[in-house]
Amino acid sequence: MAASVPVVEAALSALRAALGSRLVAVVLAGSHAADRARPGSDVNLIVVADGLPPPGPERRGMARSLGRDFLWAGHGRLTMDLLAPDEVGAAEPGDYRVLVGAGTDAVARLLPEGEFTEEGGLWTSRLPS
Amino acid sequence: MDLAAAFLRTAEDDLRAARVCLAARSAPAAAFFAQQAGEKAAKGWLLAHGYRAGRTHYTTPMLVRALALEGGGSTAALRDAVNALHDLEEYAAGARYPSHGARPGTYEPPAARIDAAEAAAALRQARFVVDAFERAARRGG
Repeated sequence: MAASVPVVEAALSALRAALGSRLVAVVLAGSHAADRARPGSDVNLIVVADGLPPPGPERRGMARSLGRDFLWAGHGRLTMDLLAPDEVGAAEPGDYRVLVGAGTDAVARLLPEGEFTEEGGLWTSRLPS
Repeated sequence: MDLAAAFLRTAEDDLRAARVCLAARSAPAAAFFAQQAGEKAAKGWLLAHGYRAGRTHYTTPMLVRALALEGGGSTAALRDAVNALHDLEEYAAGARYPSHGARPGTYEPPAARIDAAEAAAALRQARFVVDAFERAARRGG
């Protein structure tokens, strides 16, 4: 299960430390969400948070800083889309796992359709292509 | 010329390509070649130190592992270069594809996201990365 993978747990901990109560939703994408990750695979996240700087260099700087810390902690690469709640639209087809924020409006807009099942306490969505 | 030296030479060629693209007002292409220059310099350093370069654009995890094995002196000298390369890595895909890094449900070409100022900054970062790995490869550190 993806959420119990140490690198995913580490990413989630880093986000909680950085964003605290501003964190609205965290959705795992990519190979970890699809259970196709190999050792060293990137951790790809869609992160929805309140109080972010507007899209641009400052927000990208936040993502880069988190990514650098993750890298030097030996966890590999962490990539993320950092979004304010009002910026969230439907995600591209693919596999997703909701780590934080299941049931929120943001997640409903991000994953509006597809097979949406609960597996081990995680909401999983496989959006059709 | 051995493979490590060939990668370092290719890094310089990619820096030149980045400058040409920037002068031609193709900012995303300049940013992409800046990332390529950093990647190839890092691979030159990895190969010069007996590590595999790997067939990936994303060398920073390998660099962190290699630096841990090499010891503190190497890490101190190259930490800033690895951080700069980490930031350049987003251009490996992001400077080439319209969907990468987009807000979900919205799309735009890379040129809408990467302007000349950003590409020029990427080029400066790449110069720093290439210089750092070239120096370290030459002195064996």
